[in-house]
Amino acid sequence: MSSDFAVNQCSPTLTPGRIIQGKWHGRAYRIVRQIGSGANGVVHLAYRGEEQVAIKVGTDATALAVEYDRLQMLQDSSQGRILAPALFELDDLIVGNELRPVLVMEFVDGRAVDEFIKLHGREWVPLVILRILNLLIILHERGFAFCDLKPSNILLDERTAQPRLVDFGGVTKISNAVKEFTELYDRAWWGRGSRKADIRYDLFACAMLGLELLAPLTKSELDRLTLRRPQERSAWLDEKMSRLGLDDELVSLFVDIIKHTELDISGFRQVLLRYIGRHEGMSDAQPQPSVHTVRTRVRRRFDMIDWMLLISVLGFAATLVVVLWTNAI
Amino acid sequence: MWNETVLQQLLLITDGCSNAGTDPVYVAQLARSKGIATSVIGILDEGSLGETGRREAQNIAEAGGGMCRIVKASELSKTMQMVTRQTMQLTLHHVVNSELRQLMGQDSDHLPPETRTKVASLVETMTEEVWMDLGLVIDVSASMNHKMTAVREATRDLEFGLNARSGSHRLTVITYPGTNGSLADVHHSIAAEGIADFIGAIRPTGNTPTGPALEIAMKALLNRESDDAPGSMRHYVV
Repeated sequence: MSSDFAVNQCSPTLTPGRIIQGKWHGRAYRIVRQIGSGANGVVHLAYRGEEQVAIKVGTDATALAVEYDRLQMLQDSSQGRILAPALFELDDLIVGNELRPVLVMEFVDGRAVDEFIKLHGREWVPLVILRILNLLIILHERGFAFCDLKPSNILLDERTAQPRLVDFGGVTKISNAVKEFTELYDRAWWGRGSRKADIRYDLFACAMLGLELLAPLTKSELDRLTLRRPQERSAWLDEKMSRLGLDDELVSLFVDIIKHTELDISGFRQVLLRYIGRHEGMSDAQPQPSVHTVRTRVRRRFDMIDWMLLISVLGFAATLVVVLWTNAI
Repeated sequence: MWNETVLQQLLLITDGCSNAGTDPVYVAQLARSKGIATSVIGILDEGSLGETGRREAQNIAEAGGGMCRIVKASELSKTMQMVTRQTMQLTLHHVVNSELRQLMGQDSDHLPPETRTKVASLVETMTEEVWMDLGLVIDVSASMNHKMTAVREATRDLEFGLNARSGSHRLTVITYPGTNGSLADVHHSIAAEGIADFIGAIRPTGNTPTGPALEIAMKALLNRESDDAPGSMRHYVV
């Protein structure tokens, strides 16, 4: 088979500082560093002139072209642009003596959702999942499902905790077969449905993501489950959920969602909204405090307690001195 | 629109070098001339897949117009899905390109990237809708003993993927060496049940007649076609 694109070869390494040239658009890109890798290729941070861009170097031209098509579909509205990285160009790069297809996109700076939760606390999980659902709705309304929902594909802005989705290579037309998935979030792997792309496929992945952020599976658990049958995995999950949900309100929130398979996306959102409302007196209509303000508020409250403590200790000491002094006289 | 196009593919799963019968590279070449692409997944751990096995795997895939991947048993599930899908796309891409060459004198890789997305979308639609005739050729020689659970779950995963497509498919599993001294056994997947647990129950033993197994697999794909494939199929020869 003669093709300029060798599918069965690994992506060449692009070292930092290397400058590469696009064949069709004539733009030069200076590689800064590798920032991630998806099924369709390796993503690098690069400079296009003064501008920072994310550049995905692929191995399969068809897959990258399809991803380009999906991203392009979302560029036409402000909603779509919140959901997906802005799109710059699809090009071929001349790397050594080979031609590599590349996708040049907006560089989305953020922290992967699992790291974010580790850093800022598990009480963020319901709000973050709610915001991910809000993003998915935009995609669902256009007849597509995201499918490969996993922590490394969800980046959160450090100050606003607003999630962005990256890697649109797995985005699939609803009712087609899922192209890319990760076992932990895959409905079929857990023996809980088909591997057809639909809204509920994304909802299951989202609920599992919530559970995984709160009570992650260990490596050895995952290794053991890999060799089990889907119905055995399903039974194992039921057992884990009943064990964990007993005394942890956050976990039981997601256990309920996973168990109630009839929940649609608005039902799912309602459950989360109710929980958030109960616990923080906040609703979705009000903008949530950013990570930054929460942190400073916590520190301020601490200061006030400190002061009161100090005053009472001083007051007590003064009274003691006065009492002892009068007694002495 | 594409559900009358049939794509035939062999996927070989092995952990060693062939040691009996016809040269598998020759058979892969033969299958390719009959429009069947052959891909290979070599499993790394414990088996006898040394430098020779690795080279043989690559040669089979090269001759068969498919892909070659060498992976650990734990990565088998993911790899089987990916190789099947990408081999389909490779074949379809080739088909589209040869039609484009006739129409416009150039293939899609030489079109500007933005125009290429239209071809890519077409290939994606075809991947979802074509009639898929897949022969899974599994090495069950003695060294595969500890890997059969991984093979079982990988096969099940593959069936999940096939069942989710809108297009029809047929899955034939060929295990080798066969029982009772035969070179290979041919099993047909029964729609609802799936074939994974059946494969998981096989006790691996014996040598590795990869070439003869591929030949039996090729014949199984070619013979059954007349029985239950859709009426007016279009065949593409790679």
